[in-house]
Order: sequence, then structure tokens, then C-alpha cells
Amino acid sequence: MKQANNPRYSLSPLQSDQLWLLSILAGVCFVIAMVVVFVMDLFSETPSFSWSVVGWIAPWYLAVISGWIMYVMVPMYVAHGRTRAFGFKEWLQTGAILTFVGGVLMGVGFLLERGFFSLLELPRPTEEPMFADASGSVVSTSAQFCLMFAVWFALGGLVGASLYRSPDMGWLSIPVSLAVASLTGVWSHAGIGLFGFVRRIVPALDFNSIWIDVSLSVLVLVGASYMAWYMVRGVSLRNP
Amino acid sequence: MRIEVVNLHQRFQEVVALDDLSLTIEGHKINGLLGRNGSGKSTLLNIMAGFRKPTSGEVLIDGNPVFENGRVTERIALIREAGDTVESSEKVEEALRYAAYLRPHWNDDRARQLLEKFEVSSAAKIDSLSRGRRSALGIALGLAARADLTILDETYLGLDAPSRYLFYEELLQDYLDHPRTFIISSHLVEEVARILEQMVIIDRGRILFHGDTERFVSQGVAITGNAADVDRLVVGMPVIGERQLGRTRSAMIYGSVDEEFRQRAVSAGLEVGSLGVQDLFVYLTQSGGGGAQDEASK
Repeated sequence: MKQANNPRYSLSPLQSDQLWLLSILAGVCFVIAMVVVFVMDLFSETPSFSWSVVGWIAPWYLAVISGWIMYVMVPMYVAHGRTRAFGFKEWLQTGAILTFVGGVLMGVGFLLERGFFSLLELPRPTEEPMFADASGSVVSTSAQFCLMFAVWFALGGLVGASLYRSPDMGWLSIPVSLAVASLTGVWSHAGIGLFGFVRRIVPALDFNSIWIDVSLSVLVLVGASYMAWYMVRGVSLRNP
Repeated sequence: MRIEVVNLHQRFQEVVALDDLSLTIEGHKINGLLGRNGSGKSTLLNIMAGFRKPTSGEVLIDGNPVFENGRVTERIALIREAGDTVESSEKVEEALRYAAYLRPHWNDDRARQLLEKFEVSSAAKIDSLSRGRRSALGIALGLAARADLTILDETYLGLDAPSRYLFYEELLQDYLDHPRTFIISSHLVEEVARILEQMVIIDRGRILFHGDTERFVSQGVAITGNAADVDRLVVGMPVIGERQLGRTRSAMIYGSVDEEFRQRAVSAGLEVGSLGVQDLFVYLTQSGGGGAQDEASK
């Protein structure tokens, strides 16, 4: 097994486990999504992409995994003689891997779903309004999901780190993180999603610019990651 | 290895857990850290291993600070109670897998050998293990880490007597095979003292005694025999406890006695024996050390 000190990079147990789990979940979700499309076609004249539902759930999943890494795994690493910086670095690497793979899987999923529609000779639904760039290209779709996943991963990590440091601070960080996530989502551009309403009810936020969305997302991504590190760097391990 | 604890102070709101504590531990020895509940043992060990940053003061290992210093912390294995392993819903195998990844000198064969001796299945889920078995898992993780400084904080919890004796045996064997510095924190003073070369006794965040176990044991004597003769002999001496059965009395005296005193005792038909470590420990910690602290630490 790769030792933590090995300068040549290979996946850690945490990363390989999470990647494996993500792939299995994505596969299961895709099969379910295709079955849903097929069933919907029987009852509806205007089918829609059901893979986009996964795009709703996936950020929550990644946020929870991220919080779990911060709350459980980073302290465990410290208990096994590693530094908080080492644990944080692995959290960052795991986030980069999961958001990249997750984004690509989302893009490929939409591509396959379109293929599925063609194969069954179903009327192709209109593109989901969840994308800031609705060109439908795999690269653009994947990139948008990557960015969204990264933001949610960072905010999930912030919540996990805050909860470990102080339960009061941790619970407070949950609504704050959700509010911030709702403002940055490229996916909520057209008001879709759980928190897209924020942008609809505050007209000033409906700036309709992908670059503002991207800038805002990067800002939150960096800010949340830094805040998570701030929470973790001096934290004391709890008693078992 | 040289461990220097320099003016360590730890405060939890109004409670002072460690009070300007300084201590130096050197060489490959088995050290005991003894103290009552809430004496500051675990806080000291947590700071020593970099689990906690102290309010003030520092811990140095071979001259290097511990906190967030990866080169130092990877040389330390602190096992607290049943061990900080992976989540308890995971299997023992997972705990070994992560230990192999995180510990630079991990010995997987040794870990599996220990688990087998303590009858812990690597396929078992951690939350399905009894408290004793979880302690055994902690022991396996601690010893197989082969860390230069191995600290076991109340690791025996839940172990029955045969398993505790197995633990002492395995610890000594590991120490002989791979000499390194051990610190063992325990409530079972009498039992654990048999394997300790050095002892540190702390109370209310301060050191009451630090030195060889032999020297600690020589700090007290028990005078046993006819009650009246015992009473006559110990007049004016620091008697820390008495036991009586019929006309036979045993008086426990704190402090070493000279040869002349021994001769007088023998002449009076009395027996002079050593005092149990636990009796001395109880006296020291109940009295808060007091004058005895200075005497003991000389």
C-alpha cells in the first residue's frame, strides 16, 4: 500500500474508496434515470431529462462527504500521527478528484441520455434551463457541474470543520453555507433548484452573466476552503 | 529520544488542568504516568502527541516542537482508551488499512498477530466488539505502529485480568525486540508498576514524583508486629496508614528508614517490609504531596 510519505502520488485509501463509491452511485443513478425516462414516455407527450435530477442530488451528496471527511477523517489522521495540514491537503485533493470525476460523469450522463432518446426515437426534450451555458456540449456541462460541485464540497467541508470545532458554530454554519451556495449556483441560473428562488426574488442578483456566476463561485470556493482551514488548523482532538 | 515538557500550562475556562508543568524524559524506557481522575494525565499526553495546543508552554521532542510538526508527530503513537480508529461502523480490517497508510513504520504482521492473540477478528465490525476487544484493537494499533514514542492512555479499559497480563507480556516483548520510549497511563497502579522503569505521578496538574520506580518504592516501609511494640517504634514518624488484625498491627511510614531503625525493629521482634506502590500513591495523591512531595522528588 502507498505510504503517506511517498512522494509519487497515488490514491489514498480515502480517495480510492470515495471514487469507487461515487462511480457505483453514478451507475445506479443512471440506470434509474433511464428507466424513469422510459416510463415517463409512456405517460407524457413531453419527456424531460431525468439525469438532471441527479444534478440536484449530487451537490448534497458531495457536501455531506466533504463534511464527513473534515469531521471524521481529518481528526483520525491526526490521531494516527499526521498533521492537520496533511489531513486538510488530503481533503483538498479528494475534493478535486471527486468534483472533477463527478462533473465529467454528469456531462457524459447527459450525452448518454440524449443518445437514449435517439435510440428509442423519443421526441428530444428541450435543454434543461439549469445551465448558464445551454449549448449542451459535454465539456461545458461538465465544467459547470465541476464548479458547482467544488463550491458545495468546499461549503460542506466548512460545515464539517465548524461542527468539529464547536457544535454551536457548526449548526450556525449550515444555513449560512446554504444561503451562500444558493447565490453562486450556475445551476440555479434560471431559478431551478432548491435555492434558485433567492435569485428570482432578488432581481439584482439575476445578472444573467456566466462570468459573474463563475467569479462568484470561485470566490466562495476559495473563501470557504480558507475558512475550513482556519477552523481545522489549531483544533484539539476530542476525547474518544 | 528526549522529551522536554517546558512550563506547560493548560486552562479549560476556570479549570487549570496543567499548572506550569515541566518534565524531561530521556532514553528508551517504559515510563508510567500515574494520577487520579482529573489529575491532568490525559491532557498532558494529548499535548505531548500534538493532539492539543497548550494554553502556554511547549513540548519538545529531541529539541523540536511537536504541534503540527509532521516529522515529529509521525514518530509518536498515542492510543487513547480503545483507540481513535476509523468509524466504528467500519471493520477492523479498515482500521488496519488506514494505519498501514498513515504510520511510516507500521508492522502489519505484528498487528495481526496481536489481534489473533487477543481473539479479535479482522472481519468484525468495530461497533460489534466488546469494550475489552476494542481496547485490544487499540493495543494492536499502538504496538504495531512501532513509533519511537508509544503512549498508551488507559488502554487496558475493559480488558479482563488474563488479557491485561497478556498485554503486559506483549508490551515487554515489543520493548525488548524494538527498544523505544513507552509512556503508560493507568489507574491500576499496583499492577502496572511491575513493568515500569520510571514513574511520573501528577496531581492537579503538578508533578508529585518523577524518578525510578525502585526509588519510589523505597519511599515507604511497613512495620508489622505486636501493636504496642509497633506504636512505640513509630512515635514521631510520618505514619500514613495503619491496619490491625487482632493484636497484630501494621503501620505504614512515609520516607526511608536508616539501618539503626531497622535493627531496633528487628530487636523488638517486628518485621520491616516495603510498602505497596498503591499505598504510597494513595498517600501522595490524597495529601496532595505536601511535604512528602519535596521528599519524594529529591
